[in-house]
This record gives sequence, structure tokens and C-alpha cells, in this order.
Amino acid sequence: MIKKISKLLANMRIRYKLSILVVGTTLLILLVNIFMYYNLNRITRQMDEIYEGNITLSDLEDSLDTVQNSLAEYLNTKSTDSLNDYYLAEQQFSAMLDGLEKNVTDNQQKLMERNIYWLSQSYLQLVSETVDAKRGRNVEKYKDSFDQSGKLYIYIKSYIDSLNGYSFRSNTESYSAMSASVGYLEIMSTVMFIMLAAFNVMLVILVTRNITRPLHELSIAANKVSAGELESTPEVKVHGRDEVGVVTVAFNQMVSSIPDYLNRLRESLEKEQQLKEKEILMEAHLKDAQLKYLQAQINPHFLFNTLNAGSQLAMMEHADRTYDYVQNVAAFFRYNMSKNDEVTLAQEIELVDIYVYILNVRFAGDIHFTKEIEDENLLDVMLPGMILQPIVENAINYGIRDIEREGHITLSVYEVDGNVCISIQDNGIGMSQELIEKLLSGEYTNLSEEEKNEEKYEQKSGNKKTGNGIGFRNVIERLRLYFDGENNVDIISNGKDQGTEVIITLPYKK
Amino acid sequence: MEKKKKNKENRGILIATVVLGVLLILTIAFSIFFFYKRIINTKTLLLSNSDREYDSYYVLITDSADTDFWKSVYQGALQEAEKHNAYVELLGENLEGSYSKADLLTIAINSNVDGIIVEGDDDAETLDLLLKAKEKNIPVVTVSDDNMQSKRISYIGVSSYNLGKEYGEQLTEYVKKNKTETYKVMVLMDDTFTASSQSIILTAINEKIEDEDLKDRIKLSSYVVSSNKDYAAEEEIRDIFVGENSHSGPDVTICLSEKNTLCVYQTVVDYNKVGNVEIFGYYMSPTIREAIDKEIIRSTMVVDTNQMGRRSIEAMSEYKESGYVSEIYLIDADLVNKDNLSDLAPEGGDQDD
Repeated sequence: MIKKISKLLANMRIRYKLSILVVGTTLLILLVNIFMYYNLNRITRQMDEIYEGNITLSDLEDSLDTVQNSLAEYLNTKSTDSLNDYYLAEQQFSAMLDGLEKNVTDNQQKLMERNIYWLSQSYLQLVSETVDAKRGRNVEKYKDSFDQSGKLYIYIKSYIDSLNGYSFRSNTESYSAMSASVGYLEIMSTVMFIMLAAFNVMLVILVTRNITRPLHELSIAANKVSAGELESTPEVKVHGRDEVGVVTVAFNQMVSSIPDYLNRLRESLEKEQQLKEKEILMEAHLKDAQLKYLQAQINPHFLFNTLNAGSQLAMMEHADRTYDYVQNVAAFFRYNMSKNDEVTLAQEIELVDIYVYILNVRFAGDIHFTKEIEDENLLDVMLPGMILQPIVENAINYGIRDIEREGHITLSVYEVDGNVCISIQDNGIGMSQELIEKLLSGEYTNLSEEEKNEEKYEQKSGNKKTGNGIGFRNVIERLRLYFDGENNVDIISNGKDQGTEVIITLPYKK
Repeated sequence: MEKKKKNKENRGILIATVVLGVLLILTIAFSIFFFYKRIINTKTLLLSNSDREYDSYYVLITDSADTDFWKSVYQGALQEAEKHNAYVELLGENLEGSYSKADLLTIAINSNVDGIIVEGDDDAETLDLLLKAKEKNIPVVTVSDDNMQSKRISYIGVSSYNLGKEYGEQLTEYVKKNKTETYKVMVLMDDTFTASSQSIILTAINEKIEDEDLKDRIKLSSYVVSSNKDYAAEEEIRDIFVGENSHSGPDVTICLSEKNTLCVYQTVVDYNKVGNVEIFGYYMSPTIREAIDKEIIRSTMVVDTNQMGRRSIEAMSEYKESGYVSEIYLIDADLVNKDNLSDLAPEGGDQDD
């Protein structure tokens, strides 16, 4: 029940709450006031009533006096006026007597009234007898009855006086009781008003607190939020569905949704950042590769032009083999010079062919290069340029250069599980597992020259042919960037003089 | 922490408000309750709400309404009247100023009462008025003392002869016990006593003295104390003991009314005559009881006044119902002295005391 009421109160609008408070307290005060006023009025009326009886008795006595006096005057003067007066007085007196108690009760006052009534009846009887006797000039009779009526007159007067005194005494008692009541009422009303005032003050404090407390809590939370302590701001308690409650609910929603927005913003920023970084890295690596070849291209450009001139010269002189050779060299350089961000596998393999042809011319066909292509379609796969050539170059330079036996390089393209695998296998000196790991992880690039030499199986010989590893590393990185961080390069070597196999796995999109 | 404190504070205020509210309601309720109780009390005072209506209205008229004797008679009558749905008023009680028996009788006759209970006497005026009452068909019962000519319907009282005999017995016994040669014995009477009852009492005492052959030793005299004049009785009695003739004052006083008994007792005590004067009293009141206990009063005759009152009402009712009633009804008078004082209920004959 109390919970229901407090819930109802909490859900009430502030404006209604305040109205109810003001109207309620005012009504309460008004009611108490009305109660007091009513009672005070009652007492006053009762006090008035108390003395009403005495006034009536006095009137009765006056009326009796008038009867007796007019009778005496009539007896003295026998004037018509006095007779009229007497009749009038007698009538009035009789009328007044009717208001008296006539029955026998044990109430002394009423008993006295009864006796007054009957005595007065006897008196009036006697008086009228007296008047009749006077009219009949029966002197003796009227004297006698006048004497008797005089006696009765005195008794009645005495009774009235006694009754007056008696009622005055009891009235005094009533009066003191009444005035005690008034005093009591005064004390009562003072106590009541003090309590009422205290109650009202308490009620006002309670209701205003009820109204301002949620506001206070809300303002504290708002301050916290504005100070940036969004995370540590607890949810503000909703006390009811009044105006403040509505604001609080909205505030809570706001506070809870802000971190969401921030997170989303952060995520999108991060994504953008990653994208940018990737782009930059890609470009950097490409630039790096290109720089290297540009450095080389300064001469190759010149070489390319001169080679072209040379090839034409060879053609004119019908030196076909020279012409072919110069053509291939020119093609090699052309490939390098062209912008080759993204090329087909076929183009890459063509470059490898050219490269191996040139080397074979240089080294008198020492390199036995074989291609094993499973499906021509696989050659359409796209990959960044300048990938295979450096690997083949590595295989030739470090793998088979210094071996006594015939050097073989096999390039295989095949499909495994929807991926295009490009394998470059040599039968050279092979690689230690540590070296493979270092190469793949990129550590190799950071090693000093000595260390690099130590790592290799071959011993330092007369001609310096140490690789810098950048080529290989660059290949790996560019592939990774191109294929979104996938590691697609693997190196397999079974140990010293067991050859090395580099396998590049590319996703095959049909 | 702060929140908890605040919650506590709020709870405190809420509790305080609720407690205050409850107190307020309680105060208002109590105030209303007590206030109305007061108002009702006042109203009771104002109206004396015990207004019971009665069929008949009798009045009791006596000259000495303020004595315990008559108060007791009145109480008896009042109790009995209640049973017959009648009300008895001790007429004159409510009136300011004192009125003579004649006045009161006149008032009663003219007040249309249903019956008059009156202490009879010899007064011609009284007789006149009683006859007048008879004329007006108001039944009259005489109590304590009779008025034979008044055509009263009944007399209720102690037989004067028996009373005199009882006093005589007391007197002779006392005289026989003591050696003193002669005793001056004074019989104090009220003028409320009718002449006949006065003489009957004296005759009865004399008879007893003669029977015991003590005529030589007892000098019997009688004195009628006037009761109508205010304070006269006390003066007259004082004169008997300490006045000019005090040397001839009585050795034994026989008092035939409560008032006389008390006056004699007071005089004896005041003038240091205890032991010199033997008192035979009448009626029992706390003072008389004390005096008997102190042996200042030798003995007293106790009349069952309550019964007297009751009987008078019974006679009235009987008359009202059947039209006639036994003309006389005697009430017993018992002797009380120090020996049987404790047998008597502490209230004695005066229940209203």
C-alpha cells in the first residue's frame, strides 16, 4: 500500500506534486481551524444558553409582579384601566406559565418549575376570585382571597428566586466547566498548531527533497561526464517518471551510447590508418626495388639503346646468334625498365627465360633450366613484378655457381588446393635450416658481412659474390603486402649439397 | 558512502514525518474525544440529565428538616417512593429562606401535590391547613407525632406511651443503682410534640416511677423547648443548666428529640458538667454515638427513622390504590447504651450521614 502510494508519488509530475503539497497543507490548516472555530462557537452558544433560563425566570417574575400590582391597583381604584391592565398581565403570565415543566421529575429545577406552575395556577384562581368578589362588592371575600393570593404571590416569588438562585449556582458550575473547556481548547489548539506546523515543515522538506534529490544526482553525474570521467560515471538512478525522471532516462541513454560512438570512430580510424600504412609500405618496398633497378637502369638505359643498335648491327651482319643474344639482353632490360607493379605469371616466367638465356650465353650453357607447367591457365595468375627473377638469380648465384657437377634449375607451376604453386628448385649447395629461418624472418638482412659468409656452406673464394639478401627479402615482403599479409614463400633444403627449393604459393582466382 | 548517508537522512526525515503525522492524527483524535467528553459532562451538569418522571408527587413537611432524624426519615421515604414510581420532596429544602410548617403546607396544598407527609402538632393553623388539604382531596400522613383531628389517613410513629415507659425504666434503673437520696429529673420536650403525646410520655414515666416506688427519690419535671424560633432551643437549654436557676438544675435529663439531646450534651460539655448531669437521649447520630461511647450520654432511644419514612410512603400508596389504610402504624424504639452500641450498625438510624 505504502509502496503503491510512494510509487504513485514518484511518478507524479513535479507540478502536481507541488500543487498537492500546497493544497494539502493549506487544507489541513484550514480543517483544523474550522474545527477549532466550530467548537469555540459551540461553547459560546452554550454559554449563552446557560443564562437564557435565568432571563426567562426574571421575565416570569416581572410578569407576576405586574399581575399582583395591577390587581392591587384595581382593588384600590376599581378603574377600568387597571382592570384591563390586570387582564393583560394575567394573560401574559398564563402564557408564560405554559412554558414551565408540569410533570413530576427528580430534577430539582424542573420540580421547582412544576411547583411554580401549580402555585401560579392556584394564585391565578384566587386572583380571579378576588376580582370577581370585588366586582360583586363582596368586601370580606375579596379581602380574604386577596390576602391568600398575596401569600401565594410571596411563595411564588420565593420559588422563582430560589429557582433562579439554584440555576445560577448550577450555571456557575456549568460556566466554570465551559471556561475550563475553552482553556482546554486553547491548549489543544496550540499543541495542534505546533504539531501541524512541524508536520507541514517536514512534509515540505520531504517533498522538496524528493524533487531535488534526483536533480542533484543528475547534476553530479553531468559534472562527472563534463569532466571527462565518462567510464566511471555510474548510471543515474531513476526515481520516478516525473520530468526529472524523463531527463534522467535520456541522460543515461546518452551516457551509455557515447562510448559506443567513440569505439566505432576509433575502429574506423584504425582501419584507415592500417590501409594507409599498407599503402605506404607497398610503395616504399616498390620504390626500394625500383630504386635498385633504377640505379642499374642508368646504365641499362644506355645499354638498352646501345644494345638495340648492336642487335641491328648484328642483323645487318647476319650474325643471328648475336642478334638473338642482344635482343634478349635488350628484352631483359626493357622488362626491368617498364613499370611492373602487377604482372602475369607468364610475363614473370618469360623474364626468367630471358635471364637464364643470357646467363647461359655468358656461362656457356652451364645452367640447365627446365620449366614444368601443369596448366597454361595457371600462368594468368597476377603477382607483383620482379618476383621470380631474383629467386632464380639467387638459385644461380648461391646455389649452383660453385658446384662441380652440372647445375639444374627447375621451375614448376602447379595447382594445390586451389592455390598456384611456383617452385624454383636447384641442385646446388643447399642451405642450413638456420639460414632458411633467418632469410624468411628477415634477420638475414641485418647480419654483418662476416656472419653472412659464415652462414653459407661455401667458403670465401677469390671472387666476391656475397648476396645482400635484400632481393629475397624484398620479394617476400612485396608478396606479403600484395596478398594481404599471407606468407606465401617457403624454402626447402635437405642440407649441404642437397639443393634448395623455393616455393611460392599464390591464391588462384579463376 | 555519501549516498548512503543521504539515504539515511532521507529515511530519517520520512520516519519523522510519518511519526509526526501519526502523532498529529492521534492528538486531533484525543482532543476531539476529550473535548466532546467535556462538553457532554458540561451538558450533564447543565441539564442534570437524570430526569426521571414519576406518577406521584408527595411532600414531606417538618419544622426541623435539617436534623439527621428527619433526613433519615426522608431517605427512607425516598427509597420507598422509588418503588412506587413516586417522588418525595422534603419541601422547603430548595427554597431560599426558611418557611414555617404552615407556609410549607400552604405551598403544598396549592402546588397540587398527590400527598402530604407531615410531622403532626397541636397548632390550630396546622390543623386548619390539614383540613383544607382534606377538602382538596390531598391525603395526609402524619409522622413521628400525630394530629388526631386532622382527618389524616394514617399516623406513623413511635407509641408515646411505650417511649415514656422505656424512659421510665431507664430512669428507675439508674436511680436504683445509685445511692443519692433525691434526683431532680427534667423531661425536655419539643413544642413539636403534641400536648397529648407530651402528657402520655410523662404519664408513662410517672407510672413506672410509681410502680418502682421511687416517688420520693425522683422529682420529675418537664420543660417544653420551643423549636420554632431560631437558636432558641439552645439558649433555653443553656439557661436550665447555667442560668439563674442553675443551682436547681436537673441531675437527670430526659431528652425527647435529637435536637434537645445534642443541645444538652453540648451544654454539659461546654460548662464542665460531665458526671453531674445524666442524659437520656433520643435518636442516634454520630455525635450522640460518640457521646455514648464517652459515657456522657447514658443511653438513647433509637427509632428506625428509615422505616418511618418507608412506612409513610407505603401508607400513601396503599391509600391511593385501595382508598383506605390502617390509621396507625407504630414504629419500634430501641434502647441503645454503651453495652449494645457496637451491635448497632455504624450508620445507626441515620443512613444519610
